[in-house]
Amino acid sequence: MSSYGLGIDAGGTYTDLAIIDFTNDTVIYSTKELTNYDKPHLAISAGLEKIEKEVRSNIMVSSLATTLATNAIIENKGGKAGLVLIGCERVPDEVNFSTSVLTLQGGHTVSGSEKQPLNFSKLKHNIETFSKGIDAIAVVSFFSVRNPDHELKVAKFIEDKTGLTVICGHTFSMKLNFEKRAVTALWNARLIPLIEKLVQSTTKVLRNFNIKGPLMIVKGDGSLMSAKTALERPVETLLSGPAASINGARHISSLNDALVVDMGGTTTDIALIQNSQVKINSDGVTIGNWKTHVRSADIRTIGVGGDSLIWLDRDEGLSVGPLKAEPLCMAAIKDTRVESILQNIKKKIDQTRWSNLNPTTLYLEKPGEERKLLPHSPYSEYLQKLNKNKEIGIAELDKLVNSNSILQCSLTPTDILVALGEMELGSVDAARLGLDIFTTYLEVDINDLWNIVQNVIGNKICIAAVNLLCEDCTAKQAISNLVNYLYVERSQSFKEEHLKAKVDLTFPVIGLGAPAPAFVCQALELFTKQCYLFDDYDTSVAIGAIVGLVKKEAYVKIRFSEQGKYTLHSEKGRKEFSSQKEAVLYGKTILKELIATQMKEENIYDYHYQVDVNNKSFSNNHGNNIIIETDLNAYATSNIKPDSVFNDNNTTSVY
Amino acid sequence: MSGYINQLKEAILEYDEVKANSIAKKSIEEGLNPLDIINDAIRPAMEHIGDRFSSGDVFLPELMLAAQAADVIVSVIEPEIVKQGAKRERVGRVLIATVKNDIHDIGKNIVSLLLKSAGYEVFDIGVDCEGDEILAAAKEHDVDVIGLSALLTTTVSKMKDFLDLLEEDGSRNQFKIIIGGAPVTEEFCKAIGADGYGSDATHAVKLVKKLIGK
Repeated sequence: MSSYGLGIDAGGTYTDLAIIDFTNDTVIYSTKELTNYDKPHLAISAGLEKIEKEVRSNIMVSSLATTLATNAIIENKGGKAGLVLIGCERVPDEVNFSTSVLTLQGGHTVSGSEKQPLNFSKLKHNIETFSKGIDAIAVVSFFSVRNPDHELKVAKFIEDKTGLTVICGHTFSMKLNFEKRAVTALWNARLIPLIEKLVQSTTKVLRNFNIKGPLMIVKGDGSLMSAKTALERPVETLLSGPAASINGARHISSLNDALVVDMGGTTTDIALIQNSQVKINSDGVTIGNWKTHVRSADIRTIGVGGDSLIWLDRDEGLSVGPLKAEPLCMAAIKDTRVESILQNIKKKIDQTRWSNLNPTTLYLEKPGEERKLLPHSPYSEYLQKLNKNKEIGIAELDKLVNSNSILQCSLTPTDILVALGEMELGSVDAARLGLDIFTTYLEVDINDLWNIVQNVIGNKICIAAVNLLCEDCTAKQAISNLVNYLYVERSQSFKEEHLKAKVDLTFPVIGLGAPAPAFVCQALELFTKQCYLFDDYDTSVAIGAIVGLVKKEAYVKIRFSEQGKYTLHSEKGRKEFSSQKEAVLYGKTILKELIATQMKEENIYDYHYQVDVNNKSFSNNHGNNIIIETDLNAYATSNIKPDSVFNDNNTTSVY
Repeated sequence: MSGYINQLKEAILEYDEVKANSIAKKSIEEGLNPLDIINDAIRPAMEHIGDRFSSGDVFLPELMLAAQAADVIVSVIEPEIVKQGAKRERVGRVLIATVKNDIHDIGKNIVSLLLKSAGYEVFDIGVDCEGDEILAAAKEHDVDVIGLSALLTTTVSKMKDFLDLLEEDGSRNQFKIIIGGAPVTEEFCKAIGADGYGSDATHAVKLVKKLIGK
């Protein structure tokens, strides 16, 4: 009997499902449903409806990739959280009114000794007012990764007193940086109510379809965690979708090393697979101005995609993105007057109607409501009302677009693809009209415009790829310059009489996403001929969700103190040893226990385990090797195929 | 006017504090721009003697004598700079300290003096300094570079501790960190992630110049 896994991508415009057959690791089914943002479970239901009952009943495990956390942070939405800062009164800049903050004296020093005694009486005195109306509380203390004592004491007190969920900063990363720790723990607290809703609604849908087995959630590094763990550590789902997409690309391509270029409507994500592993961003995820300690795939996002605005930059010439616009071919479907307006523009290009130097630009009413074309002139009553009865100029229009009050529609790369017959989407006529207007105005022919747009997008992709591949190399700037030069010259190498320089990508490239066939391979053709596009590229996220591994990590640091002692720091606290060897031995024991506990929480007892020992050392003037500190990193992985890992396949619910 | 500049250079290269003092005073009386004295006399002279020290042509006592002569000139012209309200171009600010549990100050003082004579603003906060103390002073004086000195193999670990403190505090990118002292090596510098290691005092000055770009 076959056993199947269900991958769900509940992130964007579409909700994708993919079914993988665990017996031969092939994708046997995939669906795509339009997402209803208010009721995201409906699209999952609709997708499951289309899958045969026979297949559904043999699904043993489901896994979900979600952009929920990323979007919440971008939009600054989430539960109301409390933040207790111990030993550092500096509140991170971005923390706003939705967070109640309490600062306490306390914290530790670099060696883990107490910097100041913990001010418990202030906590006792304030706890009631502080925790009022709060969903969850984050507790962060200075150098808690060297000694978590104060965090643990405060957390226990708050839990006992209020019954609220309390999150300790040191549990997310053993890395230094108090502020990042605070932001990570704070967002984890704020995301809990959101992830609860998502897990509940997804579990309910799966239950309705009699789907057995546990529900997993994809983390930002592409690995999986159970829904139960996700409820405690939702912040780790940051960048879940893009990370799953890289997993998917690896699975579809069977390539162990590749550059993955995933092109969507608004942005393009670029990532690297090395030895079958996604390259990890060691600095932690940054979303907007929020810097976190969350481990994630190293994904470089650039502001170009199929729906990027094409515009004329006075200095740089033709430019694409980072602003996006509604493609004309789609706008024409939403409002039948779009085509006639474009006809009128074509007859006479009216400079006053311009915005962002794209002559095809027109505006639709508020997104989300029923979209109507705004009256022909930007000086309409409707717009004036929006702008508090002041006359509207181009700058005001841009402001209204940026505040999402009106929707800007313009010629985009998607329109060009539709007009040239490379893609089927919406109204071909509207796309052709837009292309006509643009080329007439610029006095170029269609092929020239197409080449320029491809080049501009390609150049941006290449520069981002160089930055990713050559992060720390000293020649980064030189290589970027050379890539730029080769792009402008459309040449594979720079040649002088006795000199030749070229840039070769030694990896193959995988293009994903709907606009990928038109842009990705072409973008990188000067640097590599190995470029692959896959049929399943649309559903790579859903596939990636179900082919990921469960991965756990734990970390221990051993420091040499001037008293000649070795101090071991772990999330369990600190302990002193008289020799480094003893400390390492103990560290290994602790790590094994920490990993076993984490895996047990996922119901996993059989896993691949590895510990790396890194010494930071130097030779002193007498030639003796002196160890300054030792880092022990433990990793454990397990796949989620049934039989091998899950003891109880019949638990659908996480509650 | 250029006569004074040359004479000031000579005073430094001849280790002549008395001459340095009198020429500096005369040149100020004659209306010479004090900033020109720093840029055209002191810096080039100190660079010259620094190079000779590096190549082994002169030794530490000579280097110190030259720096002391330069320091005399600086102390004469500094009030004039303040009086004129001349905005001394910000070449760079350096904080210097010997780490906790280490009371050796000779190396630190030499570096301090040479940096001053090279035109940098130097904040020397002394010996036996706690990390917290160094960080607070660095922030208060808004310095570009922090120089740490240690003479004992047992206290070099404090340098790594200080870098950890900067990481935890989130201010690692605000400062360039340079280290020096008998037990310190280039390998140690790399291992702890400092920005530079000065093998001797003139090297430290060159390092600061390279890191600040001035």
